[in-house]
Amino acid sequence: MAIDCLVLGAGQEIGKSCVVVTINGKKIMFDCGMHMGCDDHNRYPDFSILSNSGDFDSTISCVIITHFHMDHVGALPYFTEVCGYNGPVYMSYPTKALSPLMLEDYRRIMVDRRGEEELFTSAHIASCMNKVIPLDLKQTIQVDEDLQIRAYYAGHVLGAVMVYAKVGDAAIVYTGDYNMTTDRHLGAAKIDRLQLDLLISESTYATTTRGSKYPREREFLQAVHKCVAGGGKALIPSFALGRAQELCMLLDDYWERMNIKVPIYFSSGLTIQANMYYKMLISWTSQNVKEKHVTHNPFDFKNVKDFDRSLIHAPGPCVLFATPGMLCAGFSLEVFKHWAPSPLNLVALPGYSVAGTVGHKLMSGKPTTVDLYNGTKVDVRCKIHQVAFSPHTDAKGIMDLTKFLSPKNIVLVHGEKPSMMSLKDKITSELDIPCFVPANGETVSVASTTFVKANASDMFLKICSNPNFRFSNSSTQLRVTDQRTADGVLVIEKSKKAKMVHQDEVSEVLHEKDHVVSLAYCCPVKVKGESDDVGLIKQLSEKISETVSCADEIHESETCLQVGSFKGSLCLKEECVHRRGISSSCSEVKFLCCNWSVADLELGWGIINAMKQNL
Amino acid sequence: MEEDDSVSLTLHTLASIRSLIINADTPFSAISSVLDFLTGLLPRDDSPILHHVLKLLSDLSLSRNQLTPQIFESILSNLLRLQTSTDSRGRVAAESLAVLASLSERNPTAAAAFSRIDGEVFASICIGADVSSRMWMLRNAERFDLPSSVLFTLFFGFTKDPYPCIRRVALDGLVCVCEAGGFDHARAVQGCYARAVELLDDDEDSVRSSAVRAVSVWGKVLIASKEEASRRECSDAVFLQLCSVVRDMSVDVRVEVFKAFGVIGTASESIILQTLSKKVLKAGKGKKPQNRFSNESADAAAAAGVFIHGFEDEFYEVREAAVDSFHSLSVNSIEFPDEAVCLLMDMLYDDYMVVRLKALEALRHIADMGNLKIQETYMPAFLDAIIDTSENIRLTARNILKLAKLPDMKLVNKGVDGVLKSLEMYPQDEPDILSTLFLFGQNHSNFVVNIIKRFRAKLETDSGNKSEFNSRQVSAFLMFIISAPLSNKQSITSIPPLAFSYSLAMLGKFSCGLHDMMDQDTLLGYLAHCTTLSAASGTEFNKADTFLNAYRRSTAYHSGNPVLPPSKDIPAESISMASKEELDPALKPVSHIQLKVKAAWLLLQSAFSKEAIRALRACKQELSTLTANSSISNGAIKFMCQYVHLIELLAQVWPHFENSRHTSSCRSVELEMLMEELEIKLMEIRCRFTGLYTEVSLVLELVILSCMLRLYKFEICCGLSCKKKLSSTVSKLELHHEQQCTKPSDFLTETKKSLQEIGSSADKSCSRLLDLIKKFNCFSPEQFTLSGNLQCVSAELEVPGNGPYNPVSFVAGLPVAIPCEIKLLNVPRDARLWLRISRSDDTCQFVYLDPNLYNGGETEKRFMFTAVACMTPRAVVFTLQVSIGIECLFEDVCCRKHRYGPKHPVTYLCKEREVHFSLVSRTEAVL
Repeated sequence: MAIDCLVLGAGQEIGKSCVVVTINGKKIMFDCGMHMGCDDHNRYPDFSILSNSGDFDSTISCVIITHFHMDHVGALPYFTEVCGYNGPVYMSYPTKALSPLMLEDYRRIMVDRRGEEELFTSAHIASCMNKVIPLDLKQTIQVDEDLQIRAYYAGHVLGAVMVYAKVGDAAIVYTGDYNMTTDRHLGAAKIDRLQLDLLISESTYATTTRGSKYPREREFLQAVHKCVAGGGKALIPSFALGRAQELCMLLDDYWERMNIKVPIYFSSGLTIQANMYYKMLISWTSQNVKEKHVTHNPFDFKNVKDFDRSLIHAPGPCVLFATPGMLCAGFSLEVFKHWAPSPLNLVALPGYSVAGTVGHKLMSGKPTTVDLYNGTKVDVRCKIHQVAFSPHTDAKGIMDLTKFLSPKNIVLVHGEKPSMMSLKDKITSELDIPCFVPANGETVSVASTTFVKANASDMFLKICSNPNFRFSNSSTQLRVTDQRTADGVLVIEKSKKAKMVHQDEVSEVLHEKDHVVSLAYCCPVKVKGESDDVGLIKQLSEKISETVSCADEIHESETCLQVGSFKGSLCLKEECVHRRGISSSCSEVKFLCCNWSVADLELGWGIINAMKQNL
Repeated sequence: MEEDDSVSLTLHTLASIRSLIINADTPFSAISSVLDFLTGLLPRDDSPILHHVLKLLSDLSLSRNQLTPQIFESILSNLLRLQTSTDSRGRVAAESLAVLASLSERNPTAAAAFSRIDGEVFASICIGADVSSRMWMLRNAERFDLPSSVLFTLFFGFTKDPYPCIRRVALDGLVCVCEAGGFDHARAVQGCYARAVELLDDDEDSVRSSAVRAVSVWGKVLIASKEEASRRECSDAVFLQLCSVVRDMSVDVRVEVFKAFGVIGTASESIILQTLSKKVLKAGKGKKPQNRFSNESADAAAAAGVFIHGFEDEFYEVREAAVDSFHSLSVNSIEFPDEAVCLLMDMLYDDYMVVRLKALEALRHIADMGNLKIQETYMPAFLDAIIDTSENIRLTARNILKLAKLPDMKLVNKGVDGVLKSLEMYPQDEPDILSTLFLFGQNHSNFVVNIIKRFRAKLETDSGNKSEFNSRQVSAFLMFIISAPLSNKQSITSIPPLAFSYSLAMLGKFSCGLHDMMDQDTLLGYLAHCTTLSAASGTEFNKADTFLNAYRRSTAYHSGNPVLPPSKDIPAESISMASKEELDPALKPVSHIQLKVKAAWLLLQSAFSKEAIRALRACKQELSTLTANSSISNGAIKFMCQYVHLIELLAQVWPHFENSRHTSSCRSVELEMLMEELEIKLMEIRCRFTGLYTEVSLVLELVILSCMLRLYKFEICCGLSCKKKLSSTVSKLELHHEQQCTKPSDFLTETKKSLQEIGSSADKSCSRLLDLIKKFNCFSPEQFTLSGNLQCVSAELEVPGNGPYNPVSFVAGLPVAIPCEIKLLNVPRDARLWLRISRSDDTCQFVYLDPNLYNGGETEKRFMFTAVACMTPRAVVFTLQVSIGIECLFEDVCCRKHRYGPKHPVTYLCKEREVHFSLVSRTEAVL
């Protein structure tokens, strides 16, 4: 059996995450995102690869959305409402709650402000959300008879999950976006140690290794503090959910500690609404927030106020969180236009900015003027600070997770090609796990685990019920092994179910006789004096009991002698097959044809040597 | 009661039996037949019934304790029978064991029979038992009296069990076996460690966390078992092995890992550096310490960012454990990088009190080693800690502040403000806050001027209202200010005398705060000094030097931290000495005592002789509790004892010189006796110690002083010999100073100067003498550093077998032999030893001990010596006192008149031994 992993989006790029995995015949779509940087047909994943007929219900078993970011959920209304997928859609409770907000916001920006063609409507969003089945953490859901899915906490944003999917014996994990270190408001990713055939991981920061978060936090706080202490205004353009809450929490704490009275504003109603969701979804936040929450909800910010448009030109210092991030449009850009010319002010940019946005221009180099979208130019004299926290894990985090899960294969998505390649090399060389970096539209096939069901014999079961330790003393250390399973033998017969039997039973099951290895040697012996055969045997027996130490009991009969399993009898054949290298020409030499079992290997050779000395 | 086996036994029957057992009024006959019935059921192999039977038997033993031995016996014999039978019934056997264990713990007679369950029985039951019983048995294995080899084998084997719960219990058991100690078979240790390492990869969280513990304890044993050379390598391997599980997803595992780092407690510096950086450092790259101790390769890269992860962890338990193990690592490694300190400082902002406390404790330790630089960024964290609601956090934060050195005025001001705020919020901390300010002030004496400015303003505004709070703030300011001159003498000029006078008024409060640094008298002395100095606008600095130096050095020992640089006026040699002592904390008690002696001397001079004597006696007591160690030899302690005793004698003599010479011109007997003792003791201290080095000048000065005292008081009778001795001692001391290239003390130079005057005119010199005497300073750091090789000369003398009932026989008039067993310690080569044999009527006889008897290489020498006593009286019985003395060769002034005796005075090295003699009886003589 094989697992096929078809990458529809976010293959060697960031944006429109969409991976379709076929496990034992079941097709699961992980994430259904859109590309924020594209305006053409490339905006959505190419669903036509899945089915030319457009009958997605029969091809896709289920869709699982990991979190509410547009590049993970953006294409969902299109897929369900426009393309007509009617199967189950799974996402976590917070994602279900917050996705419509995000989708609606995005639709509004695209349609109302930019006047683009409407790809889905508000009604589409609503009906799409009706199809969603919410997931809870670590809840195992049986999608159908064979397919099991389970969600694990991923950090990143509120409600982000990693998804474990299992069909039969084959199991995979799709990480979505995740964070391996804890934030102020979100915890770090948590997952059990699972037996995996495939891990599909994001790799946004495939080559970055971040240091401790504390100095980074401090830098940000000091930059903002310095700005407001100098009477300046600090603008923090950010998306409504995620970094805004994180930074606000940080600032709020710092304000308390340093006893700063400068106001902190939230620009849009959306963020206030988002804060409300955060307050409700406390169980999805970090341990710290959960514990504090008993006495005080950390999302009830003490110093935060609502912003009013008239405050843009109000004198005095302030801090403003404005949407959207990256300064791509909207209110944040408007405020930037007014505040950028003053050297007192500060623009703090949290996170990643897509190329082409004002945010990206500010981060790359120190421009003195910036072109806005509509052709106006703005003098930039304010200070620019790039906040170096990201809700994505760094390279070490990816390595740590991979090491912890030790999957049989790994596929990297959601990253830039060069850095993904270097991470791929690292994974293959350091962890010795096959790693794949497929581009969009490519399929990776890996072998999957299949277990063979076998019946066990009663004897084997009985013996297995008790431990059977064996201690062995190697040169440096003591080792212990449990012999139970080692004693078992798997018997697979044609057209019969496989059976596990104990090794003692094997011959019986196979209707075969036990085979014994024994050694044979026809040993020349010299007759001393005038003695007959009986006398010779007696002589030999004396000799043996003298020289061979472990020959305890020697049984003699007329022409034979026996010690343990060693049997020797006078050989009368002219050409005995066991006679080697000695011709029978000498008449005084007689031959004793001996055989003995492997167990008495040393004893046998000991006796032979003793008898040869008699020559 | 039906005792027929054929009748099917129902649970109902057993329930009614139970009511019989519980009922206290059931007659004993009924109980005993119940017992018979139940024990009769035991051999049946009906496991569900036996479960209840065992329970009933256990209840029965609870209610009728006298039946316990019988019940115990029957269950035990049944158990042993079960064990021998081929078909062992696991569950019943395990349940029987449980009942037996609880019975034996209640009843001592049963406990004796308990040992019949030996390792073999236990192991066979354990292997045959089902999972739950097996788990119980492994968990409770320690309750049974089993040899550790059996336990080890069982636990070690069951780490292979397919059930995770059994594996976990087995690992826990191995940890217990290891902690119980005594199991150090090399291969077993190696095997156990390797098995635990394998289980670090277990699928089950609980197994992994137990495995981490097992790796740490067995790793520790493994490290200890290695030879010195490969130990570091091995501990690194264990450390890196643990590093590999730091990123485990289970909180318990992570907590255990960080605890385990603390258990291992040490690693190479390159590894520690790597733990502080997530990026793989060059040093660690590709370096594989070894991998023969583990199955996996142990690369230093495994340690990358371990502590960064630990400190950033979501769960405070992990952060706490991380900070804690970080602390123990910093304790054990001498070089600890600066960035580590920064990481630790970040933890001061943690939301959890326990994490902050641990971080503060670790920082305090680093500050102790003198590596702490508090930057402005972290100042708020410290100030928060100072006013924390938790007393422990406040205390630790203050301790750090005591040792801290802040770079600029702004931070110092912030620090002072923080402390004042905390004083305002927590008045109960006042004594410790004062002591903090005292040390903080010393460390920041450069900023004292600015603080004084603030203090002035404060004082002026506060003069109107004298509320308690304000006086508290004032005292805090004062404390800061008055501490400054101790580290920076020049600052005294900038301190208004008013500050010292005010401080005098708060002496009680201040000395309460400083109780562990100086007592009230020292503080008083100090303040008085400062007051005069500051009033004299600092022209007489040098006079206070000795005091300040003495104090400075003592505080340096206190904090164990060379925060106070020695000032320039201390001779270079003594600086080196001082620094030597600073490094050696073991010398601390001695230097403490020196300081106390000094303080007592100051007291004496201010006419507090009684207090001084009391203080000196306390010193003697303290000395008696000291024991010799590597840094203080036994000789040094003895020397100190003698020295303190001498000072005490001087203190007793002193009041006689306080009053003018003429009013007490009659020679008091007491004084004479004291002087006599003083001289004897002086002689002793000179003779009985070898290896005197810097102490010589001290002792000689004391000799000079005693001569002067005698000269002053008893001039008439022994003036000549005294003067002779005085001048000879002075020249000796001069010679000594010349040889050692040390500066003669003021006292010596003054004495030398006035020696001629005294010689010429007898009477006028008296005032000059007194002046000189008063000038004597019993303590100066230059003189007083104890030599390392100071040895005390001593001897032991024994007359074997002799006693009042076993006397030595003698014939009157004839000499008698006394067999002496002599042990000599540290006797110098040129010493002349005498055996003094004296009678109670003061007649005595000296016997010279031939140096050939004892001159050998070793310091300790034992030998037999037969002394001949000539003076046997006409008596039936008599006793003689025998002791060993050493001739004081330098005491060349007075000669003895004995013909065959020593030419010089003798001091005695041991107590007098009484030897008993009895007249030989006629019969004995005949025989």
